[in-house]
Amino acid sequence: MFKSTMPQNGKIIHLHFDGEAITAFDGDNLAAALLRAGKVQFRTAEKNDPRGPYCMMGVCFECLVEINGRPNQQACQITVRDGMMIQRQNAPNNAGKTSG
Amino acid sequence: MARLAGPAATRPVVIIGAGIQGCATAFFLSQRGQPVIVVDKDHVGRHASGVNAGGVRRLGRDIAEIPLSVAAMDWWNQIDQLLDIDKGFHRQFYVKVALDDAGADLASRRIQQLHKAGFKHETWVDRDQLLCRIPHLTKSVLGGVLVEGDGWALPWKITRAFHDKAVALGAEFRTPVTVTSIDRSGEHWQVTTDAGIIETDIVVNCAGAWGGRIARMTGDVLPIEAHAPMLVITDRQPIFLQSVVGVMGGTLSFKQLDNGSMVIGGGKRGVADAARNLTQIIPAGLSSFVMTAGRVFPHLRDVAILRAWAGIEGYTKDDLPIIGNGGEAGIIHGFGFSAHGFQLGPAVGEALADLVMARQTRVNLAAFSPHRFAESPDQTSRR
Amino acid sequence: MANQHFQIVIIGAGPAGMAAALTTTKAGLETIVIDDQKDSGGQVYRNLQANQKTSPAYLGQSYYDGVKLAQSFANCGAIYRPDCTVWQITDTHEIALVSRGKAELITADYIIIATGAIERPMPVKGWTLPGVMSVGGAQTLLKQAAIGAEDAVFVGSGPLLYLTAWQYIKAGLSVRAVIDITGTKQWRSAIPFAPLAFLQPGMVVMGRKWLGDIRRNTEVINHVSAVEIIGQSQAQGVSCTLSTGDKIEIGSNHIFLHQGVVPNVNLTMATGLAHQWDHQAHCWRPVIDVTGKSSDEQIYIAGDGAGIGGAKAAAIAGRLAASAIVARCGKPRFLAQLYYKLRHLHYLSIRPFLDRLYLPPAHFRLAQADETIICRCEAVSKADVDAALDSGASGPNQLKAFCRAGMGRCQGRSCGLVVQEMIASHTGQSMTETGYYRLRPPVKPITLAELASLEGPWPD
Repeated sequence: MFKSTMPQNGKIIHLHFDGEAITAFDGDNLAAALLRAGKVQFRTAEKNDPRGPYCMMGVCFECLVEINGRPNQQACQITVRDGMMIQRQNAPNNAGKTSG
Repeated sequence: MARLAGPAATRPVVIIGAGIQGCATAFFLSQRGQPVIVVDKDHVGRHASGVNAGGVRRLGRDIAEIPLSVAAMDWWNQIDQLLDIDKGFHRQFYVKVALDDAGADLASRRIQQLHKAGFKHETWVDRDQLLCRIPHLTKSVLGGVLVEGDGWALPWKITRAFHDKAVALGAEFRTPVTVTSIDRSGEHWQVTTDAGIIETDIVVNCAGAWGGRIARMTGDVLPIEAHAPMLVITDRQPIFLQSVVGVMGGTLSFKQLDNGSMVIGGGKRGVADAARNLTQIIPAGLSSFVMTAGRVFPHLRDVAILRAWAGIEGYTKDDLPIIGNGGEAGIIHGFGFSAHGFQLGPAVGEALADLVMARQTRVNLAAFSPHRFAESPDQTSRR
Repeated sequence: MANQHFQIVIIGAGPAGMAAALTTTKAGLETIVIDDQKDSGGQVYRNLQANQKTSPAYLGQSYYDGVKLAQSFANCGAIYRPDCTVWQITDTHEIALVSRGKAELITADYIIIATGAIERPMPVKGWTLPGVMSVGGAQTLLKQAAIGAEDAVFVGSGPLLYLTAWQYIKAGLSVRAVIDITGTKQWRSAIPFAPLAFLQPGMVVMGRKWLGDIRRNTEVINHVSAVEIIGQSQAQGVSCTLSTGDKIEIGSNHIFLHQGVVPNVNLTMATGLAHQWDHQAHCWRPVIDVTGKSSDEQIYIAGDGAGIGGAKAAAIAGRLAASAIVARCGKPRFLAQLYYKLRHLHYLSIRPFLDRLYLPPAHFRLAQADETIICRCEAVSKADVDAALDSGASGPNQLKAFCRAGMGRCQGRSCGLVVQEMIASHTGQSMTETGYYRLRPPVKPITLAELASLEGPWPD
């Protein structure tokens, strides 16, 4: 479980992750806010692999979530905004090994 | 011109180029018991054959190519059994949509032209029928020219499958091996490579964008230019398209793979450096055909492009391939497919194998004669 | 629409990019700095401006050493464009970028690429499970969001691992264990170069402080021959096999992996610049001259993206490249260049020691278990790659076609070096002969609408 190492006193804002209400602080990095809220799995990848944030610098493309209907957003590159609706995303056409 | 009768040669036939044409030729010859050695300066399917848009179509072809394309389709319809693969050919339909009056006009003239020449495979479908079959099409579409039974395939998979089956039937592939000269040696040919000399009776030139260079080694001057049409592949989306879509009056090709990725080609050229196997992507050109894709499927605005690329392809002046016997006995050419050779591959391989064995080809190849360039050196483009 | 033109385009606002901008703006050259993060600082000085206000001490002095540079950069007069991703550089020096949904093409007289480093992939079984992150990722969370995980396990080797574990301890987090994969073989090959390391005694002292504090505050496990991460839907723990053959299992939901940093070569390779295999550092680096000029006369590369050296070396390299450009623009800086060259060499003097000591053992550079995911993006396992190798794939690009490794969103950043090593090991070719993925634009994904925006608005 991730916890704060400094006192947090920013303005509180509200998000939803897979329908669940989550609080974050104004200016928070989205991936960090979700991790602080105890969410480690952000999506399922090909072959139904559960995945979550890995590199926090935008190069691994693991932290992909759907935000307000737009898929494939890198949560580690995004700042939270009040009212954001975030969904875990599942790889489309997850049906075993792909051969494309 | 002396011809070899019956089973062509005791020595293995040398095929230069392991793209689809070379691999298909190797397959058909091996099937008939003729030993072959295929050489390629890189590896199987390295260039255009491995990285093209994968369209398997009779739609939109130059009239001169249609019989060859129809013959190829016979092979495509049994490609799984032929090559021992699964789902080799995604058979559905191919449609070129008319986005405006000019497009609709072109469509009607095209169909008339084909009917006059005796071809009925292209038909007009109106807006309602089209939207029924492809619900995500732009609502402003006017209709389209459609061919049932066309579709798509994975180019590297198919090229590799021809290679694999040819090897299983006895073909020998030597890669990477670069041919440096081809010289007469009495009644035969000596193919000099960077890995030694191969003596043979027959050389088949399937060297794609490098076909002109190889042809010159045999004494044939066959003008060809190397270009690099660009493509992009996108992130995966839920499946919404099984057919292939193009645009009337344009060069867009749009398909969705089984894993949900979309392959979009646009005929826009990057920069080709055939000597160094290098290609360059031009952002403005890329942008332009992606915009055309947007006119056809506007709902894809937020789909990410993961990669752009361009394969090195050989283009002839008249956009028709060069298929036929060369100037000297024992030289056969099969290259210059000008970005529409993939679907023709199985029929071309069969035809080249026929030429090797001095048999009558199923399809008349006169339109593709290597000698047409010598006949009228000032001939302008046929398009 | 005419392209905007700048004399100097700097890509990356980490220490190298910021320092370069200071030199070019001082010489009066019109400079733009493009960076894909929201604030300057790159990764090493991530979130520095915000952290100055609260100044968490646990981040350590070397982090706050960046303050002066960041402040000078903010005031230097360069045009600074954050939140802006470069996706291609053409051979006519057009820079294609995208920012807030809109693509642009700009041109430059000179380009300085300062895109830094990424972590070397560490393919252990279970490394894709939620709860597993890179050590760099854990450190970024400390810097960016002041959050850390309790009872985390650190696995691997290298200065970044020890620094982050130390920062965790200083932040009051309880570290469950540090599993150190550095072996006696690494020590033996590094020791002869230790005297060079002492040219920077401060660094040595700092490193020993980190290691000492770690040893006093957590369990350190050495002589590990294999590591696996256990768990189904998320990480539950680590199982390590010791060189004695014994197995230890440590329970934890947060595992942080690290086995070194390597230059991020995706932009430089996709741009077609020459690269070479660096045998000492065991990674690819762009071919550059002593000032950082690449195989393209107009493009310079500075910082960790040219070769790992750390933040201070990066800043000097930025100064050096910028000075070389300033000289070419008619304002020779002979003495300054000489000074920067010497300081750069000084900062790099510790590399022969560090590169050897922290080169991960081969059995960690390669995956061990068949089920280990090699290509994360396409979920391609070690078994899949081995099958492709058995089918005759003899290079990374051929291999891509066989099994899809390298065809995903990250364009090989998480798998390229591992795949290359697997191929070299299988074929017996050298790493140089094996080569790397042929990288293509866009260097980061862009949407259809963003790309089309070079032409106009997306159709309705």
